[in-house]
Amino acid sequence: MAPRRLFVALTASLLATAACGGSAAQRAALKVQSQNLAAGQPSAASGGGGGYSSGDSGGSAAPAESSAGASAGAPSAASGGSAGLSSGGSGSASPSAGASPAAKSASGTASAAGPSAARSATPGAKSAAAPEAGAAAGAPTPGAPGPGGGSAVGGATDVGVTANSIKVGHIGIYSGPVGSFGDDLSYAGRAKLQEINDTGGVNGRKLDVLVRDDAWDGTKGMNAARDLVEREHIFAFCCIMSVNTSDPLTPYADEHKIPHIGADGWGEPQYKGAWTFPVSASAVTEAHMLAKWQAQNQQAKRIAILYINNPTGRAYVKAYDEVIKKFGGEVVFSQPATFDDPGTTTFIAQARTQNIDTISTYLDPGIFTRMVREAAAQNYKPKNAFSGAAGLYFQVTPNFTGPNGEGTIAATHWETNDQDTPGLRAYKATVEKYYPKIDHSTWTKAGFVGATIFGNLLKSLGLEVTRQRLKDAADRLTDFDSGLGPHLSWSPGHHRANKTIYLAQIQRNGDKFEYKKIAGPLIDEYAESD
Amino acid sequence: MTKFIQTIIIGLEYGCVYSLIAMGMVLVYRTTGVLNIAHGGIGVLAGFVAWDLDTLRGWPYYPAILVGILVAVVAGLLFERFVVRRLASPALATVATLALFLLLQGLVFVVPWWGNTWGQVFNSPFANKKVSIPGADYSVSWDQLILFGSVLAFFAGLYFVLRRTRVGLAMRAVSDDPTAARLMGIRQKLVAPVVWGLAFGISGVTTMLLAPILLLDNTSLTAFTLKALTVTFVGGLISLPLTVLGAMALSMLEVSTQLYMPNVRGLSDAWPFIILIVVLVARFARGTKALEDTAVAPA
Repeated sequence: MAPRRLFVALTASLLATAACGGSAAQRAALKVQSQNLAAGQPSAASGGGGGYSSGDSGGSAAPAESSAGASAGAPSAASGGSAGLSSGGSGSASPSAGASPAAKSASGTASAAGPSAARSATPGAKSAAAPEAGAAAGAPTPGAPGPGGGSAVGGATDVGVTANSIKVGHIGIYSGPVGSFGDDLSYAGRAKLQEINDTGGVNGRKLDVLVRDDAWDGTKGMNAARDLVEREHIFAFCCIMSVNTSDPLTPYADEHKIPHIGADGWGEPQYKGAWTFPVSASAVTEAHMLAKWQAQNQQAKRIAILYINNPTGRAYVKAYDEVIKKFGGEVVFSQPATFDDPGTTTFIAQARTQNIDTISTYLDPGIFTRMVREAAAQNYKPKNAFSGAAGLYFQVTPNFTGPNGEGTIAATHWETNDQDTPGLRAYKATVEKYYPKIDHSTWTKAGFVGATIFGNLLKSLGLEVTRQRLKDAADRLTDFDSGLGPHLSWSPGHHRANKTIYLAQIQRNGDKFEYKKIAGPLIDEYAESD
Repeated sequence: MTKFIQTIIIGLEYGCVYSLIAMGMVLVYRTTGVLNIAHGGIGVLAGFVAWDLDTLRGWPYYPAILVGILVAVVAGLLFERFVVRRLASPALATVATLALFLLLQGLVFVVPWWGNTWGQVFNSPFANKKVSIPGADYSVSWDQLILFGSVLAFFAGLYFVLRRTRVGLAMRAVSDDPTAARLMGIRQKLVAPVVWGLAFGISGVTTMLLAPILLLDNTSLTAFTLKALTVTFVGGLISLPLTVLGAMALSMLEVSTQLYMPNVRGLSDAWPFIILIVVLVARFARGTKALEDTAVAPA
């Protein structure tokens, strides 16, 4: 009897955990799903609002297609416990003002009108079944128009495209060690996609945005990506702001010929892909510009670097070292950091004894705050204080680092928040309309720009929407004015569109501390030309 | 010499962190045979309750942390009453603590105003107070000194309670042989709640001591808990002195690696696993079949 009770208790606990603690996306999905059920909406499988009809997803190929909603509630193994959230399939989104993170994610997830309700009644929906049936038979040709493609009325022109919708994959950071602020990075891009839907969609098609959580873990992210591509049959990825997923996704996108428009661009591998189009600058560019600026303006000579031990972190250290040496400085030592060891303490102790004049970092705000507070406890602050990659550029960072964080310089890839430009106003108006409490950072802007470009490119394709045509259009992007500073251009083999860095410094403003712009735009002349 | 003194001080500091968490786990295992994996999760719950009251609602510091600790104690009593008592074996209860841990770790995301940033600064009346260590080019905060003192107090207190008091003897008796303990008039249903309430209360106190030094979030304490779990094996899950020794050894190894061999990447992170393997191999080499053979023997 006891084991049975244990099983029941454990199952209940784990289900509760999945429901409450898994991720914001999960909660949002559960909420939307329950709303749909309460409203008596047909299930996804019935094509009533789930973003799926049998024709959409290959019918027999994906028999669990009620899972458009179901997977939201139950963490899928493929996505590492993350939620499946079919926005287009989830009915309308009513962004709630002043929403908490949970509420924020519950809103803004869905297309304004579930397209599939109308879809099943239209000829386009019938034609949609044809190519997907092919997909079920294992014969889709990515990038090539389907039977309905190219017609004057649109139709199923490629995988994930129907007469009324385009299925878009998005992977965000909704849980894990940086989940509490990672969700904001997704919301800006999703706000733009939502706005596109709210203003009529793309040439009559709504964007059906499927959201997954990677918990800032590349393995989970790739599981989610495979699920989106191979089971959900998405058309393209848009604006993934998680470097740990975007990096390994790049060769996968090439292999499957799936465009990823608006990648975060923080990791160098993203610039090697033919089908990946990053919008933000890389950590290497940040390191180049920080090293140069600190050498020229602060006479930085002896530098110590604390970094998260991943490929991007190691690239940051190497790039900083290469440039600072050109100005007669050196990286005296560098040290990896984790959440659970004495690393920040020993790092500060070493920096003190080695007479370091500048501490630079590639960290998340949490470890950075710990390091600054540890330095304060040791009565220590280097001559040039601290600097770091864009991971520091969050509005709340100055509040947490306190007085010892004053003087910290953070790199960002777009115009800083304290400026008042028409582009920034437009960006904030759109994003805050859907997510009023969002923390504007480097990647909220990148997500917004990526989604904007994605929408523009799709519109430029007319009704004949194919992966190949989208890639070709992206490869022709020229001097796109983001409104947030950099102008972006892509061409075949050259996807490093953004080599621009702005520097913001934590300064005292009365009793508070906040970021103020001190330099930029700075163009990275050391960056590779890809 | 400066670096050596720094190594000792920082090693002691983090050894105290590991020790404090590990002692709470040893207490439960030694008296119930259950490995309390929920330790970090309970700490997160207590910490966020205290932070909510103090920072968001303006409560004075001491009442706020007291309520946080009481919440942890009540959680322990409820967990014992409604979960542990209904389970057939300590092994099943151990699994239940894992479920509780997952549940509580996710709780931070459920309350919207708790999880809206990466971590929270936990106030302390001793903030910005520090002591300079002569000859070490190093300062130690009052919070760190209090942590050090707390570890000593907990160590002495637990040792005394388990060895010298009737409650402690009853705890050990119930754990050693429940049937014999009942025959001797010890009521297990009274002893078990004391153990679980005390253990969860220690989790709460641990968080109140650590959060001002670290940040209050749902990952840091959990990560430290996993390291503490390693050092509990050094003491065979029952010996408090060996557990504290293991905690100090682990932190000293980590710190000396980081300070003296900064270019040996990964070694610092590998120490918990190395220690765990060495301990297990040593125990088997000694002819001990398994840890549980001696798990509930008196110290």
